[in-house]
Amino acid sequence: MKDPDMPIDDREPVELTPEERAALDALPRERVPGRMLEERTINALRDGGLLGSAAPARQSVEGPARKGERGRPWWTAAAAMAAGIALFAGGLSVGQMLGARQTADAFQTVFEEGDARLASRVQRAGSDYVTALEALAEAGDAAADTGQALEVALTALWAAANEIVRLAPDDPLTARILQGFEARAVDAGEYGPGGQLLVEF
Amino acid sequence: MARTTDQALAGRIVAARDESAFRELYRRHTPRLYQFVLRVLGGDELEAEDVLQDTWIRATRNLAGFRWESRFETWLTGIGLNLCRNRLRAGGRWTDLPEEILGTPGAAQRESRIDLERAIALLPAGYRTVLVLHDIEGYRHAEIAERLGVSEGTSKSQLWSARRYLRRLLGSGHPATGDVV
Repeated sequence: MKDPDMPIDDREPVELTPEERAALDALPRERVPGRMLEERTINALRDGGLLGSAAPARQSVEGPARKGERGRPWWTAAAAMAAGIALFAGGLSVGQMLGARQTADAFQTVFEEGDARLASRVQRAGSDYVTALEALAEAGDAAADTGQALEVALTALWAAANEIVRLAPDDPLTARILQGFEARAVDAGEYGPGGQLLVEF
Repeated sequence: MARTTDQALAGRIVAARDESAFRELYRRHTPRLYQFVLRVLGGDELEAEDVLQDTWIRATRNLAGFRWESRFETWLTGIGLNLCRNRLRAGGRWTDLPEEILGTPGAAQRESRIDLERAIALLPAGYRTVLVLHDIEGYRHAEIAERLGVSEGTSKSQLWSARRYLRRLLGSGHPATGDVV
């Protein structure tokens, strides 16, 4: 037992045991943040004049788009990324919830988080969806893109419902939306071997 | 093919506001920085992302003035650490527990055993920061003292308390400490 009256700087150090040292060494040193963070950071840097604007760089790298040479439009990726934030930010997806039937665990996770934090998450995801949908609207100039636009919009809606269900697990409208997606996925055979709903970006 | 150095990438960012250079630098250093910031903040992912963004903005703004006398990663970590501290202080979370609190088991301590990462997150912010810097990131007390603007003695005493508290949280006593079970 240490002398409580001893000046704290003179106390014996609490040395780590080899097991404790090993456990600390085994902790991960790296972790990848949400995919939208890089874009948000770059946008903020552009806004602050610290990075050049994207448009000239894109033209110089890719050149102007040629007629009949249409790859996946840039806004598709933007919208998919916006939707993706919901899937990758929290480690909880309705796909898992519905597919793996771990509803109780999922709800427990929701309740463990504070309302303010959840509201903030939803607000942030919402901003990304608005950005993505604005891009979608601007790109709505080609009939050939309609099918792809629908696909992207549905993906965004699905991801948005994921976020809302975290905040309000009992919301009936969200439940109906998600049930619709589940039925659609079953019809299309989009469930993976583990019973999880597969969504491709 | 040789990897472009951090300094070369930074030079392109400063000289030409080169986005691709920034992306490369960002992707190179962000995973480690994010894990560090997330740990210091106690596991709040949203807050950690905000700090990460602010860190990169501040670093980019001051890139021209960085003299490359230390590693870029170390400089970046220092910025992130300062931002974490500012947030923890602003939120009234940068507190140390009085010694007597260490002997009072809390709710988490009543659990038989908890995950090490979670236990670290439960430490008071001051203790947690020193423990992360010293025991996980490998900083020396002199370096910690300089970064946190405290004495080496304070750094040592906070590590002392952090380790004791961590053991209590983990429910694993150690004979050398006697009073910790």
